Amino acid sequence: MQASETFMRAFLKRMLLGLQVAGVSSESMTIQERESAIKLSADAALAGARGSTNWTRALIANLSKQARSKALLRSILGKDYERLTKPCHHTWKIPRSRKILRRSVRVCSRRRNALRAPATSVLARVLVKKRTQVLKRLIPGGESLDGFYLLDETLDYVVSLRVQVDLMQRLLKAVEASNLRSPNVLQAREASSFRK
Amino acid sequence: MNCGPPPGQLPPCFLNLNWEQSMDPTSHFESALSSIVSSPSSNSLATAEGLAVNNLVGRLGSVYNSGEISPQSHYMTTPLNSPPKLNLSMMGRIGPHQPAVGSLPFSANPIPITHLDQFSADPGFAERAARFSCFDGRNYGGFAGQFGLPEAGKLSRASSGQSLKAAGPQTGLPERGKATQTQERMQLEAKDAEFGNAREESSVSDPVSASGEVSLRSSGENNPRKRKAAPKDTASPNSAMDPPKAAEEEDSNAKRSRSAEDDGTEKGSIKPKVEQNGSGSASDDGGQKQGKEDNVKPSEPSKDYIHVRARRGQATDSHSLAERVRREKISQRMKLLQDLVPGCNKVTGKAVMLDEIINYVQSLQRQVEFLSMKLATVNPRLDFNNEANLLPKDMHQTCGPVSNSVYPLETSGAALTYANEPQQGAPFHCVVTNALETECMSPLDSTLYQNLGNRQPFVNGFGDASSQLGTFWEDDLQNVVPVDLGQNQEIAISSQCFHGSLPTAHMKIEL
Repeated sequence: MQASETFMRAFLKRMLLGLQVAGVSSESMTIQERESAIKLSADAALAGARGSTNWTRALIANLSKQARSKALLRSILGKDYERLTKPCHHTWKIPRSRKILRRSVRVCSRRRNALRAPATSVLARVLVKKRTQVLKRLIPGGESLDGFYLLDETLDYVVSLRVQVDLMQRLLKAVEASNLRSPNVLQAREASSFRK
Repeated sequence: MNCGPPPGQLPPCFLNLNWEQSMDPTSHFESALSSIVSSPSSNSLATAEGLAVNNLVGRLGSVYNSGEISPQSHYMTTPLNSPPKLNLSMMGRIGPHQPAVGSLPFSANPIPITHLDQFSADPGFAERAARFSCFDGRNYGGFAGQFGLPEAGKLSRASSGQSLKAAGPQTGLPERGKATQTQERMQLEAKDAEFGNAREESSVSDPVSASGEVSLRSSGENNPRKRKAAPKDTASPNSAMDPPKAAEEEDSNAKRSRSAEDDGTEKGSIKPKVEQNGSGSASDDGGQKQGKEDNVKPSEPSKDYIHVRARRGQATDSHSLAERVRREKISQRMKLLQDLVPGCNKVTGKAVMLDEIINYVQSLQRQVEFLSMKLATVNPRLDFNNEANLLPKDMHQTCGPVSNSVYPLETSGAALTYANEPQQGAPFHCVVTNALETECMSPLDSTLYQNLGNRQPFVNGFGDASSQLGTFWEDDLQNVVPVDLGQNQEIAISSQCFHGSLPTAHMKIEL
C-alpha cells in the first residue's frame, strides 16, 4: 500500500547482494549459519532500502553488535553504512525530555486520580501502558520513543516488514520453482556433494 | 536642520504627523520592513536584527542626508528619531551602526517606545507599534494587509521549544519528516495581528529566537485587545501533518472527521505560555467565545509553531490544549494503523488496537524468521552467484560469475537473441532485467526462473519462465522502461567488464 516499487527493488537488490556475499550457496555452512546469514542480509537489506529512520538505525546497530556481521552489513549497505550508523541528534534529546514528561505525568496523574477515580479509566490506562511497553520491545529502537512517535515508527516498521515478508516469499517461490523445474540439477549437485 | 520637536515631546507629535501623512513617506520603511520581514528565515536573532537595522539605518541615513524632500523632511526626521533611539538601546547587540545617524539628536528618550527596546525586532516595527498603539480600534486589518507582514509569533520560547521537540523526533521519518517539520513549524497565531496589534507585528523575527521578555510584554499589553476581539482557533495541528500523509493514506481525510470539524481555519496555535504570562482570565474570556471565524490570514509560510484552537466548551488552559493536540495526533496515527493491520476496522479503543498491532508485528517478524529458515534449507541447491546477476541494477555482479559456465545466457522478455549473448563479455544482466524492470517482481522472477533453470535448452527455459510468470505473477512484461543505470553506483563493487555492455544494454532496451 505504501510501499513503493523502488523500495521493493532496493530491498531485493541488497538482499541478493547480501546472500551472495554471505556465500549462502556454499556447501560449508550449516543450516543455522545459513539461516542467520539470510536473516541478517534480509534485515540489513530492509534497513538499507528504507533509508534513515529511527528503527532502521536501531536495527543496524543491533545487527552490527556481532563483529562477524559487520562486514556483511557494510557490503550490503555500501555507503549508507556510515550514514546509518552515526548517531543522530534528535534521539539524544528524547531521554532528557522523557524525564520531564515522566515527572509531569506523575504529577498530572496524581492530580487526576485525586479528582476522580473511576476504575475503568485507570484500568484502561494500565492496559495501554503495558501494551506500549510490549510494543516498544518489539520495534527496534522503540525503547526511547514516546507514545506518539512510537506509533509513527510502528507504522513505518509494519509497512516495511510487510514488504520484506512479501519479497522473501516470492524469492522462496522462485527458488523452489526453479528447483522443481530442474531436479536433475539438484541431483547432480547432491551427487557431487556426496562424492566430496 | 531642525530635527523636529524636542525629543521629549517627540512621540505624540511624530505619531500624529505620521498618521496624517500618507504612508508614502515611510515607503522606504516598508521596503526595508518587507525585506526584513522576508528574511526572518534566519534563525539567529542577531543577524536578523543586524540586517534589519543595517537596512533601516542605511536608508534613513541616506534619506536624512539627502535632504531633498524638504516638505517631508519635517516629519521624515521624526521617524528617523525613533529608530536611532532604538539603535541606542540595541547598541549592545548590534554594534556600531550609530555613525550614520549620529548627527540626529537622539538621547535616551522616555518615550513609550522604550519598552520596545527589548524587542528583538526591527526598530521600524517598534515605531509602528508605537504608532498603532495610539490608534486603537482603527482598521488594523488594513495596516496589516498593507505591510504584508507575516503573522508574527510571539509565543514564548517554551512553546516554541515544545513544538520543536514535537517536530524533532519526527525527523526520524524521512518521507514524512521533512514535510511535517516544515509544516509544524507554522506561524504563530494571526488573530491578534489581524486586529492590528502592533506587538505581533513587531516581533517579526524568528519566533524560535523570540525572547521570553518579548512575549511577556506583548501578551501583557495585548490582553486588553485580546479580550475584545480575539477568538481562538480550533485545534487543527493535524491539518499541517495531513498533506504529507494524505498521499500515503487514502482514508486519512475521511477518517479525520473529528479533526475536520475543528478546521474552522487552517491554523491553530498553541498558546500555553502567552495566556499564562498575560492574565489567564484574558485567555479564558477569549476562549469562551469560540468562534471558528475565518479571520486567519491565509497561507502564511509555515513558521515554527503548531496552532491549536480551543473547542467550544472545553478548557483552554495550556496543558489541556497541548494534551488535546497530542491526543489527536495519536488518534490519527491509530487510524492509520487500523488501515494497515488487517482486521482492525471494527476495533475501537486504544488498548485493543495496540493488542492487534502487537500481534501483527510479532507475526510478521516470525514470518520473516520462518522464511529465512526455509530459504536456508532450499538454498544449497542454488547458485546465488548467478541470482545476483538477475538484479536489475547489479550490473557489476555479473562480471564475477562470468567464469561460471553453467549459465551462459539469459534472455529478455523483449525477445532478444540467445545467440548474441555469448559473444558479449558480460551478457546476463543487461538484457533481461533491464527490459523487465518495470515491475519490481516480475523481472526478477522471470530472470530467476531463467537463471536457475538454465541448464535446459534456453528456449524452454524462457518458455517456462514466461508460463510460470503467468501463473505466479499477473504483471505484464510488455512495458519497457529505460534503466537507470545510475543506481549501479551505489554498490561499492565495480568492475570494468560491464562497461562495454552498458551501451549494448541501452541499445537492447530500445528494441
